[in-house]
Amino acid sequence: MQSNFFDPSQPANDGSKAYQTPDRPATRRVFLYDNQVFEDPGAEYSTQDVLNFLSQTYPELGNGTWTSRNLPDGAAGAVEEITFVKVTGEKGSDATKGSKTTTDSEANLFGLPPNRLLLPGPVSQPARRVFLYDNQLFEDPGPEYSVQDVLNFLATTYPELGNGTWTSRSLPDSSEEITFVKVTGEKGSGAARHNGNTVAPRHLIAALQRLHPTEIEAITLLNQITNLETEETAKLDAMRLLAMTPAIEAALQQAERISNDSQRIVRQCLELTPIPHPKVPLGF
Amino acid sequence: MFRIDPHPPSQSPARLLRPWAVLERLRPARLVAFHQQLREYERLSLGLSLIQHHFPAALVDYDDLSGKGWWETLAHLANLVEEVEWFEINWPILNEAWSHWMNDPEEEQGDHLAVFLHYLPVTLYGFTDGESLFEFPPMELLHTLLARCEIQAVSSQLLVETELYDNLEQWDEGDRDSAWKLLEQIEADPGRYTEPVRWLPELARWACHRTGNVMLDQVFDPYHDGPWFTWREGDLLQIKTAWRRAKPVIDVFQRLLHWYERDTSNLMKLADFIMNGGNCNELDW
Repeated sequence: MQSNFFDPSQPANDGSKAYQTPDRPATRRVFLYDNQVFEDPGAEYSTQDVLNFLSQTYPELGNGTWTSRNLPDGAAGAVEEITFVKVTGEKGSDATKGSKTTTDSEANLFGLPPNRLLLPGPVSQPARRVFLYDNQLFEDPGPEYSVQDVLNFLATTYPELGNGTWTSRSLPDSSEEITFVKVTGEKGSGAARHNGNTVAPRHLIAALQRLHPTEIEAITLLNQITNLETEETAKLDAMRLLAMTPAIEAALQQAERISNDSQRIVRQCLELTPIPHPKVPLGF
Repeated sequence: MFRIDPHPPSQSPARLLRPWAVLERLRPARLVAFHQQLREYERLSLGLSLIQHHFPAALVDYDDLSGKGWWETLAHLANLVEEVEWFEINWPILNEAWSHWMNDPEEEQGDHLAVFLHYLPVTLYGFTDGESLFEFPPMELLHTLLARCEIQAVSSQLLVETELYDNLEQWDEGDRDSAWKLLEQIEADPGRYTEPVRWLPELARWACHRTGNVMLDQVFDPYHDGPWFTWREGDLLQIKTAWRRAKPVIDVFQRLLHWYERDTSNLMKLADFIMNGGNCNELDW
């Protein structure tokens, strides 16, 4: 078919060199809320950042979430339409309620709004709490004070608790025993921080447990294509592949997003400071 | 007759086959592997969409895509472009990109070559002020005598063949202006001059990067911002037009080179004409 072809015998200049091509337009985002369109402030701002910013003007978006869809490519490239939705309900209700309707993991840690993920302490309080630190027992100041509040208060007396965290267990009398643990390490380290809030391992575990499996389109699509290539009855021809192009592009974008999110989560987990387990592991 | 082995194996078939040994070696599939494989199909569809858009009749060659690589569609596209003479394909650059891939298939993954699914692998015929001009003494002579920029170096070959030596040191801005006026006269009244000489103003502008035609004024360097032209209609039209205008000039340039190579002393005749407005009948390339 070809009269000319790439000739691999040609010597390469330098394999490590990269072409300097113009930046291809990244996916443009358009934000919608209350029938208003908001400009994309730039790729460096996540959707959550934009939501946080808008919630200053629209307080009802404080617990808001969003849905997204890809619009057909325009002259300026791909466009993602993100619609913000306010979440009605009582403050402090189930954290998973009103979570994003998009199925894939977006720019959000574990697919949950960070302010929910990073709430310091359990959302629902048990009837009675017992606080322990350094073999001392501290009275529960009342359900209106979160565990973080108690920790902050204790940190004024025990400065080593400044970056502290806690573990908890339920006692047979249905009360909760909360043990404060100091986090050792370099000054300024401690538990990982996200948006100014502390991320303790327990928060990560809780978030991981709330995760739902995401179907990876790249795998499904690849199966379809390879089946077409191998099946005797079907055939992969140009028109069929061209018809699949939008789906391929969307699947690649999704895979890249998942990959980036996974990398970010791993990075954040690596930033966590290890804390001692309160009990000796079984079989130790 | 077969005889039954009276000594059954002491181990069960499962232990002999050890299927778990295989399972233990298995590793979970990585998302990146699926991504890479799917990207190959994306590139294939990109190549096909270019062929479909620009050469729809050629799509009949792609009835069965099993085992078809995206690079084959790119090579096919490049050949189709040359067949219809839209522009000259930059085969050395494509070969180099291919070579990058072959040298490091795991890491490179055809990324350099795939760039040309988005951008035209076009040959540009501009001269760099240094090396590439030195390869073509007539063009170097025109550049040396007419360029407004500072002349960094003149090849010794040129000095010897034109016997310019000291004359060149005395050649100043005023002389350059006079030489350009001579070229303007040629364009103003071409009938007074022979056919080869009528091309001299354009050849001079080419040597001095002043044609206004991207194909003659620029060199293609993918490692330093190209310049890059996409496969979109606007860019394609610009390049097609540039090539249509550049082609006759390049043909004359080839004649000029042959004329010079036949007798290197011809370079003196060209220098004499530019510097002193000498006899143009001797410029018969």
